[in-house]
Amino acid sequence: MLPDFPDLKRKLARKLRARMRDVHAAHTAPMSAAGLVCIHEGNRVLSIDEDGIESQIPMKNHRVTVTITDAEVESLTSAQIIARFDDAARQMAMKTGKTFIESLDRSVQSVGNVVSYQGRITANDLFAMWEKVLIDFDEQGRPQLPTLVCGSKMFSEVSEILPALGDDPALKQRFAKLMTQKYEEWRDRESSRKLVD
Amino acid sequence: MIERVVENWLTDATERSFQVPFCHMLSSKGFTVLHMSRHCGMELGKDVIAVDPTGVPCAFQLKTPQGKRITLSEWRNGISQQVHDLVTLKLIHPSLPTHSHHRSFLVTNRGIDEEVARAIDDLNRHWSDSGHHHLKLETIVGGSIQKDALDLGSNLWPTELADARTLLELFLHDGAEHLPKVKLASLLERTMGLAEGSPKPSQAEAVRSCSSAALLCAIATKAFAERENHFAQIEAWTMLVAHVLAVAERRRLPSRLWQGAFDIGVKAIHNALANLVEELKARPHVVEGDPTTDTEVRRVRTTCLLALVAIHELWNGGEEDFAKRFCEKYRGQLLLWGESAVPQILAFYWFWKNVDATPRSDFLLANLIEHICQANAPGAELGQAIASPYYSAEEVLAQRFAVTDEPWEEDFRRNSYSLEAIIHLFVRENWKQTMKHLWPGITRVWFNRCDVKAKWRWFLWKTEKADHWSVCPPFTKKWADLRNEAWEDRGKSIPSTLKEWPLLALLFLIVYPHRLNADVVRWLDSCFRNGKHIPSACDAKKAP
Repeated sequence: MLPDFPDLKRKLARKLRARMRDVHAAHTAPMSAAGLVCIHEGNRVLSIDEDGIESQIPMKNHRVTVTITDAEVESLTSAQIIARFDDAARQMAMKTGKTFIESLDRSVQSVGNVVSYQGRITANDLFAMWEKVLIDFDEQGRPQLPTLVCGSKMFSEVSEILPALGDDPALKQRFAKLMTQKYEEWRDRESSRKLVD
Repeated sequence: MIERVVENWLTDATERSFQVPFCHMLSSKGFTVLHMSRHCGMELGKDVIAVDPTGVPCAFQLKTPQGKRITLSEWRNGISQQVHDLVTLKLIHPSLPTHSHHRSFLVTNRGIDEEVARAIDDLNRHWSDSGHHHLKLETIVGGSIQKDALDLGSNLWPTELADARTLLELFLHDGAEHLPKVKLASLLERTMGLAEGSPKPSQAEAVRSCSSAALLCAIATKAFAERENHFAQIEAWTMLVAHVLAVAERRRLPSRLWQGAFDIGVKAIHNALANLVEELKARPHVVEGDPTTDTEVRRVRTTCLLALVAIHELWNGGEEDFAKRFCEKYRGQLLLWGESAVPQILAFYWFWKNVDATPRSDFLLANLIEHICQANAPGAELGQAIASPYYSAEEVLAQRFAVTDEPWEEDFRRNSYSLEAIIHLFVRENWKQTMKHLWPGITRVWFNRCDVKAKWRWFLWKTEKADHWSVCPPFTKKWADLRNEAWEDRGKSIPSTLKEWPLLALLFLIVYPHRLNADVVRWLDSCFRNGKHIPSACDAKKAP
């Protein structure tokens, strides 16, 4: 073989993998904010939720390929190689993100937790969504509103609605009322965490 | 290559390090091993006592000479007197009748000088001429041991390059570090036909693989034996015993076919435990290696030592005051450095509960519950979460001190593999009001566990054939229901072969912390409560 630097290259490859993880995380936000749980053994993942409902979490294998041909291997610059791995990380993010959304969609459809709207999204639709989800509150009683994941069209529409919640007195009052209701629900939920006789 | 490794191992081995594999060789030839020396001051005068296939008791004295052979000077300066006692003094062992004659063997892993061979011949002739025809010293030398070793293992040992490399890596290990358990498990699984996808061995192959793997284990862990790294030896022999049980469970072998290999392994574990305790008694402190950096790891070591001292004492039925003094001195240093430490802390708990009449041991459990619920709560700091039992002390400490190249990605918050087990132990102690206080925090952490699909797989380091469960505790729970759950103790996930051995099961959990679950812990707790933990295999055996 030709002289090589395997130890050094392993360290460089580690850096490349760390960069891929960062790119992947940036393209899967906010899903990437959810913690990563490793399944160290077994081939099935099952869960029982707080209501005692058992479900199986399907495992899906995702892979992307980075190809470097013999013809280009000598001419590729480090920047070009990094760009290819960035692209691979983006592709991976697309795949894992899609799986995440599909899985979420199946879950909410199965329990009927869906709000449909036609044309342009309205404040009513947003309120309908918030009414359907559980909202937690922090120690100061501030709501921990869920993150909205949406396409660019919906993003611009929602961006117009959100400021109105603070400006429009009627919407402001409705939001406050909803949060009061959600606070009560949260308090009931938290109070139910108890060991009883 | 294997031949060279065996030769090298045998040449370098000491009496201590070749005793266990020698016993396995005897066992594979049909001997029943009754006793293995710890090589300490007070022994029965013989390193190994066994009964040969015809029922004749045999005594073996193991000797490693300074050079390549036992010289006349070594013979005169000690060995001749020892073998005289070996041959002429009666074998005293509870399993042997006091009136029986025995065969005597001088065993060396190297050679015997011609003059010594002559001296032995003279001695034998002298006994014979004096009318003591039953007195005779037989010899077993390195060459024949090597042949036996190769006969036993050569066709079962790893031939794949990757496995041979793993064996060499272990063989050439420094011996001062922790045992590379993943590597050893891989070797044992491959040798014993337990690896995923490997064909099920025949009954004869399965039985033979137990002794073969024992020899491989001894060779692979030679460096740890030479360093007198007792914990590594305990781990290695526990892993071997676990794999023997896996073979027995998988093939549903009758116990007579695997009991010999199993008993020798258990004796080796017991000896290593006893040697560790002896070392602790002789030491002024528990600092090891470079003292300037020891502070950072000492509590991790102390937690492990507390567990091992506790197990040794539970094993011996609470004969000594040392364990109590040691635990009293160091119990404040117990550290939940990761969920891998939970079996160690529970071993201490089960011992300490018998010693300390105050509720302190119960509140050790409450503190564990509170700590896990706080550290692994959804909103806790990511870096403070307690690592799952799939991570070793070295891995956890390397992350904590930021001396690793690759920071973990795994988020341990919201999950725990040991919380449910500890809760059940605490509930058994009936601290209802404290439990009520703890419950809200508990509901924020999901109970994880891995259910293997066939019980023999429980002994494997990891298996694909298993279900990973994540269970959210119900927000509202009735105390009566929780108590009923906590008192269930059938131990349905535990392989039947292990059920006679609660202490071995506990040791197994210390070596394989990811196998700890509420079911095993409840069963163990019931065993300790009912005094069912005293092992029988190290007790006197009935001679065949």
